[in-house]
Amino acid sequence: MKEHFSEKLESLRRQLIGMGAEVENQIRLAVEALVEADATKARKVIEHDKVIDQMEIRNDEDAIDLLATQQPVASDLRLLVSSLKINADLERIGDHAVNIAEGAERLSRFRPFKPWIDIPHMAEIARGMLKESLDAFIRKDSALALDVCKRDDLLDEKNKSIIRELLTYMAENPALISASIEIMSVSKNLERVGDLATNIGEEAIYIAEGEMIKHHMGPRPPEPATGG
Amino acid sequence: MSRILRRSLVPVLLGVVLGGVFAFALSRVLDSAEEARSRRALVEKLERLSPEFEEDLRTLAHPVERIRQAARQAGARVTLIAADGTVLGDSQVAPERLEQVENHASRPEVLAARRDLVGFGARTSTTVLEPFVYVARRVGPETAPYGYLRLAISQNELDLLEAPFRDTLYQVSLAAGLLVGLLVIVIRQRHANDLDRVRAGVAEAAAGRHPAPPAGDSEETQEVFLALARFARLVAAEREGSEKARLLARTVFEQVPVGLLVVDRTLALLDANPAALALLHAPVGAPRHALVDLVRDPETLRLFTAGIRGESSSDETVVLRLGGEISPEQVLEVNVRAVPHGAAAGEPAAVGVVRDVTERERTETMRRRFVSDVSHELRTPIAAIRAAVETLAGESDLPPDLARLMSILERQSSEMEALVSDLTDLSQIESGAVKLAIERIPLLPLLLSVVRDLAPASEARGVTVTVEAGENLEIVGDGRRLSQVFRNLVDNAVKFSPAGQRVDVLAEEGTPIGPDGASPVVVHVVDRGIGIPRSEQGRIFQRFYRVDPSRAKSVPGTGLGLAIVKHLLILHGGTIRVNSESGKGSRFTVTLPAAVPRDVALERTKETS
Repeated sequence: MKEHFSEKLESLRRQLIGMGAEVENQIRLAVEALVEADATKARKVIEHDKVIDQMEIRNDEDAIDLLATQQPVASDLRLLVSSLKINADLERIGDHAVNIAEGAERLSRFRPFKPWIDIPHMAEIARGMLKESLDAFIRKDSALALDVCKRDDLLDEKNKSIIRELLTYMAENPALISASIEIMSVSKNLERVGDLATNIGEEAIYIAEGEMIKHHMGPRPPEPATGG
Repeated sequence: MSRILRRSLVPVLLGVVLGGVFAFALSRVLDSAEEARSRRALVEKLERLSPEFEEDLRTLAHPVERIRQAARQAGARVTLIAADGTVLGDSQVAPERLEQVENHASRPEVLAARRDLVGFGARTSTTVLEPFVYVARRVGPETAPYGYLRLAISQNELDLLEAPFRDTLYQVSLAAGLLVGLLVIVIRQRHANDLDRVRAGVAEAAAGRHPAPPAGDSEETQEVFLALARFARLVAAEREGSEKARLLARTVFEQVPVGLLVVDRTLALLDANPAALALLHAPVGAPRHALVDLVRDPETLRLFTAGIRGESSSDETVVLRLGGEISPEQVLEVNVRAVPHGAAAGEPAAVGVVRDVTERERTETMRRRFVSDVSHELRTPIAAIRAAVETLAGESDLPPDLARLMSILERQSSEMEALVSDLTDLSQIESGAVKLAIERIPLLPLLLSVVRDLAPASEARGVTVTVEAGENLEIVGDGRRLSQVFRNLVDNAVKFSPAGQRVDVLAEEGTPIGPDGASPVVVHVVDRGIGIPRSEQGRIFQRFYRVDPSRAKSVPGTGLGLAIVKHLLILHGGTIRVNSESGKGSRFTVTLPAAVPRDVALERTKETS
């Protein structure tokens, strides 16, 4: 019975990592579609989200089934509860990939008015955070996870500077407003990917150390002012 | 300990019970022998005494004193009985009480004595109330006896005599039983010890060690140990052999510069060699329970899944770019080999082979860039030469020698132009610079237009080309590029067909695959020309490959046509394969993926517009 349980838990862990792999790829393809102005690629990303949604449902069912029928304790319980949260986080990241891909689809009809530098850079950071948070989850490496959490601020800063820059473009040339708003949305989505990767990193620390670090991890910068 | 107790209890109990039974039976036998002996003694005494009392019996006298004397002498009770059964005297009855004694004529021993001279009886005496053994003898002639003389001894007296002997008998028998029981235990223990030694010897031998034969054991045990020693040598040799093989396999596994990942059917990672761990940058001490712990690329995972199910061939590869997409630090190539006889979970089901192709990729990129640059640079001067040659060749009053040279120039420069144009095409396709304009195309008109374009060449060679395709067959792709594919194939077929032969272009629907059951489109280009030797068939799609160098002279061509065809089909998600026999002709089969159902395609156009 117990062995059966550990097998099921291991297979849930694998499913979760497999889903992480798909989500990583979705973000990569979405940003590629954006930079290459490739609507076909963007469409593929949007359609592939179904697969990720199915993965999420399956992981959810499996985790709840294990929780309900096996009443796990200690580290098994931590892993299960964290799996549920990571599962939800990954699904949300998948949705952000879709948002970016939809933006890419719309932007593919605009003439590029500036070279792609900041967005690919942000995407690189966000993807790196996602990748390393999953690595930390796999290796139960809390140091790596903490490193991921710290990088979130960098992404927030990048997002703000992109918005500032785009606002100046919009002020100078109203014809660029709709394209600029699309890019802002992409930037916001990437920033959210970073937040969710941070959540996964926190869960990885929780699994590794057995303690919550949420809400008391060092001084956070103040929240950006609303209405900006 | 308890085992020894359990083992000993049964023999001891059995010994005691057997001893008891033996003692009981023996005492019974001895008892009856004793009784017979006492009876015989009594009879002898009667024989001696009877003449003494013959006169008394005839005269019915009462010789009280002599009776007492005889009783003392015989050590028994003496009774004198008259012929009619009247008791004339008894050593244990006072003379004055004789009259109260009942008549003895019906006593069994008396009845028997009257008949047989001597008679026996055993019962409790009514006179003295004790169990007695009686012996009576007839005195006087058989027909008219004078009377009977009877001796009796107490049964108790008989028993009392035997009691100490009986006790001894029982003690000896029980002791003997106990002894037998103990003996059984000892023998059994000895036997068990032998078995224990043999068992230990077998264990030693199975481990491949020489079993030490026990000293001073039975011959059988010694023989068993000799056999065990032979067995041990075999085991040791076998073990050494398999150990060497295992070590060799392990060494190869660990030293081979190619990464190897062994997974089971559930994609659990069974083993990964150091090369694989290094190539995939697996940190030391990180968990490696599952393939996903090492590789998270969805394409690679899909290749493994397909490989385990036997749905992919071992030469299908996935390219992994590590450390940045645009200028990767490392490029890995992964392919998966299924282990035949799909094993259960926990047993190897597939082996992933990881190769570092960074260097190859870099050279390939350089080569591509070089070819692309060179072909691009060559186009302009060649166009200029072509224009000049064509202008000159148009002159009508050229001397014959010059005209011949001009025609050579014209032919060669046009071939050079074709070559450069093919090279440019190929390098563009390979570098991914070619963007396909995807649309739905009816297949039949496309094939017909290809054949029409090639009509002058085929007519010149006397080759007819037929086209057979369903009216409603449609393909999805870039019309211009797909025309190029079929033009190259038909052109080849015509070039390598002897005059008067026929080339067939046949299109059909393939077997449905995939979840929506859509059918791919299959196009065959069949010629009856010289064919391609089997050994060459794998290489014809390589750049600049020409089957027979000597033929290159008679048939013009750049050797790039099939390479272009292959790459264009890859871009369309299609495949090409060849089926040919030397001297009998070739069949090139193109498979293009199923056209997306019309409603979905329409929906997409709406969304994108």
